[in-house]
Amino acid sequence: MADLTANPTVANPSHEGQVDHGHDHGHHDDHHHEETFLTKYIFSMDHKMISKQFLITGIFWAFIGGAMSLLFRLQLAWPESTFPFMETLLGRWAEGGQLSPDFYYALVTIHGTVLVFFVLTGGLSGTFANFLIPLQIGARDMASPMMNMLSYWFFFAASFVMFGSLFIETGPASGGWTAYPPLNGMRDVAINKGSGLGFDLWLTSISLFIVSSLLGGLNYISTVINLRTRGMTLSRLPLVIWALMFAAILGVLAFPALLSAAVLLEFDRLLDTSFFLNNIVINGELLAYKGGSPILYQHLFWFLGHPEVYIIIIPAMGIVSDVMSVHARKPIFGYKAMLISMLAIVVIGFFVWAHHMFVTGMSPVLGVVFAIFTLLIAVPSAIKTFNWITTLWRGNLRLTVPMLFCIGFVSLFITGGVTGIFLGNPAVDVQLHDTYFVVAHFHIIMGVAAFFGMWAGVYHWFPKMFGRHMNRTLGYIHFWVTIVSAYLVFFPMHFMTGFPRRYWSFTNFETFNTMGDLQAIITIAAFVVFSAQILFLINFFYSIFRGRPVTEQNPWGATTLEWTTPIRPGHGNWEGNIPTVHRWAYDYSTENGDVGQHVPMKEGEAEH
Amino acid sequence: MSAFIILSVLILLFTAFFFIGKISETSMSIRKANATEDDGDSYDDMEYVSNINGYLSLAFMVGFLFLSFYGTLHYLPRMIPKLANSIHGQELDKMFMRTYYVTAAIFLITHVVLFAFVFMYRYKSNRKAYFFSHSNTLEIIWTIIPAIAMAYLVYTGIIAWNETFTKDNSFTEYFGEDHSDKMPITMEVTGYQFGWKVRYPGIDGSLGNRVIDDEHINEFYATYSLPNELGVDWQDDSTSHDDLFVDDTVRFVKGHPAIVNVGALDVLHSFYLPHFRIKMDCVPGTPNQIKFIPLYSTEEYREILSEEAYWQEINEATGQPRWETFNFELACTELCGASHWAMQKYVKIYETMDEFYAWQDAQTPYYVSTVEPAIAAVDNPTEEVMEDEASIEMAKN
Repeated sequence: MADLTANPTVANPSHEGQVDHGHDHGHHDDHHHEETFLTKYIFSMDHKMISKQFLITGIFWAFIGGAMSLLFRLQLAWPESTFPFMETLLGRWAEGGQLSPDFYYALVTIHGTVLVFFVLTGGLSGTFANFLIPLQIGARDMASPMMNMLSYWFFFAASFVMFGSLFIETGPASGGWTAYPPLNGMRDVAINKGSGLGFDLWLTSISLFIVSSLLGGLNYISTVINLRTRGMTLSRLPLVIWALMFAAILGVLAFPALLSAAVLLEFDRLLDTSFFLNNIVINGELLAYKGGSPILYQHLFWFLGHPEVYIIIIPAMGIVSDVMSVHARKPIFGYKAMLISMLAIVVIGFFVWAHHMFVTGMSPVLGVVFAIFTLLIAVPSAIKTFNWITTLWRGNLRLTVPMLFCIGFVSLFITGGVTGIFLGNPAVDVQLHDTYFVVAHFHIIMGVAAFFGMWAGVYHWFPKMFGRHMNRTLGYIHFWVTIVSAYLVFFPMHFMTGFPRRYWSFTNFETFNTMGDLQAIITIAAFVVFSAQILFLINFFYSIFRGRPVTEQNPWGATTLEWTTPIRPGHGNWEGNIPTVHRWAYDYSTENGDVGQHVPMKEGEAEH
Repeated sequence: MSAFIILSVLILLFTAFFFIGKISETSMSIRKANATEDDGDSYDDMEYVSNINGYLSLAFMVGFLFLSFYGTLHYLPRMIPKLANSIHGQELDKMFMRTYYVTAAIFLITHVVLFAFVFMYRYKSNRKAYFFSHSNTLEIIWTIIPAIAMAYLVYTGIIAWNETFTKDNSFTEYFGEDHSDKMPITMEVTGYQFGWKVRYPGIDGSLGNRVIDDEHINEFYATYSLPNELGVDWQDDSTSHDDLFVDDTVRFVKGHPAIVNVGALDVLHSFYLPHFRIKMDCVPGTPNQIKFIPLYSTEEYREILSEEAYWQEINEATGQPRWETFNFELACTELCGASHWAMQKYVKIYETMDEFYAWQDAQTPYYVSTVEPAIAAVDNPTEEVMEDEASIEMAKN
């Protein structure tokens, strides 16, 4: 056992109740002597290494996606200026230093795609499900380490194809991250530069990503169900594990719908079928497509697309719940209510997809049904918010960097959540649909808020991941600059209520040409936000190699099992037996102090 | 040069931040080395940093709440939902404001409580957190209150939605049974890359029939070298021959129902009239219809705008106050390709139906101006095409 802390009840795993999972014995020795660079860092089957691979790939894409947004923000703020560096960078896509509309739309499309799928799904769920599930439930590894490795390598292949598509002659996909046909439904008709090879690669990449997500998701679910250590009943699971499992269930149920949409779309494109196409007239010619429906694609897409936002935000909610509880030195308030509300979000989340389609001309009666479910989902979201706030009440809040990101998350969740109440109401949505109000809403709630959850997780579990601390001062600067400037980017977009999104320029319209100064403010704030992320990047990589070493097993004084492993756990996680669990994960500030999950109940002590 | 300067400043800034971080870390380890008792590697200045961040949180809350409410008020005159120019639009705006009041209250209260707690309960070494794990009463309270608020919003929202979008074309709920003086204007807008085909009926008030098939589109085009993307049945002379194809401005009349048949030729578009609270997707192969009743003519709306400071400012391009040249506009709100952002058209609202008729009378039907000559050129290549005033008059009647 490595060093123990000053608080022995927290970090001293109990050895009583010898756990005898089949793969327990000798696991450790089997692996160590034959590890090479290739098996340890590249084709690793250790869930911790795979999690780091997801994280670093996610960070890579976050920077690509973020940098793209800076380019198109420049265009939006100063549509009539030229930026010679852009021509240097992009060549013919920015002749004379002005972003071409074609590439503007390509940037918007790839920005959306990579942030939603690669960063906030792969990077967030992939990182924390892999890292936390075995460590917190007391397992040596995932149920199938091999599948887990494949999950990462499918993700890598998806990334590789997507990255490659940036460099082809006709440019990457440029028909929006939602990839609606007919714009993206015809391969050989010259309607859009990005709808040719670029979009084929996009579809390939997304299909690979879906495979990765399904392999990962099935693995997370079966691991949580089957590999919990002795005593780790479902009702003792930390909320983050519940959240990651719910997100995996959502993914497993919803992603196949997208895969089927992708396959049918590719049929339309390559084999000239008409699943999503009907009566198309181009250059005066009626094409042969007959009888399909572009709206059908939207139903399939949003059947994934809406649960997808919960796939993104639920793990962030889980991380925030647990990290907040640790740093508030208080149990999370209303564990059961948190759990039930999360489950409610998962279930109702499958019945709200058509609120993205209120103005497609679908029956107004359907609109009513989806409006009711959509506003219903605000109730469990409100419950969660009130529970987080109550968790802070009368706590002893250690305002560490991860804690600040949790608080920031709650603020963003409220701000982005209340605007959802506007959009879920079809009567209000008519005006707001496909405008900057929507951009503001989803960037705050599933963009920035999910990022805040991710950062809370990274700052909190960094010591466990790398055995070193991140620099705290840089972390504080990162937090404060990010929350202020991220709000400066997205809050003013509410003021552009009714301005259509995905516009290369507003100069053609008198109606939308009234807020020039605001666009510039947003762009400047976006640059500030991005700079703060460079600071994070420096801190992250510097700390991996040169950060202050962790010298105690449980630096945050947490109760969960991952802090009972050695400071730098090997493959297999625990050197001795896996600890047995005796209580829930939130015994902070009890009569007996802070008590780890592995500590047996005292005589006469009642479970919370 | 300026790029170089900006880059250097940035690099210097990052270096500075980095060293601030390093120094604070180092100073902490020195303090730790001097400390009598080793408490592991946890920070011993938790109270100090929690204090700083507690005050920062408070400052952030004040600044953030002030800016969000001040910004809303400041930009209100320029926000599109200022004044809806349609009967249903005013209902939808009421719904918007209703939602705004409810959500603004939630936003304000929860933010104050959140940051007040952060400040009040920031770390103190002598404080012990209060073990408070659940309360069913509290959970029930904050399940019921949001449920009531949501029920209220969804109920009023559905009523507004139904009144707007589930009505038939008789308009009796607005005008009573007898509204022969409120003649609706039925017209058709078809989106394409990148513009709108706008078709109005002639004096007969009905649009020519469309048949989407090979014969009416491809064969017609091949035979007469004239594209007929809409598939208008030009053989049927009862309705199609007086149809007007309009290039510049979409026109409606104040107080008269506008019935717009929206569609698309190639890809998805969306028919968006921001001032009228109208948005309807244009789907190739699937016709949609949307209806509204304009409340103010263009002239009246300009008068209303002329009372606002922003619209009184001089427009540098025209040298006139902004309101004087104000026009309603039509935009596309569904990504449709590289020039999605440029599908602009003006919308004009006439004061009276007579003005509309006068405009209609002054137009030449598309059949007369374009289709007839093209057909004639192929079918009777030797004959001179009749294109005098008389034939136009004939076609109109």
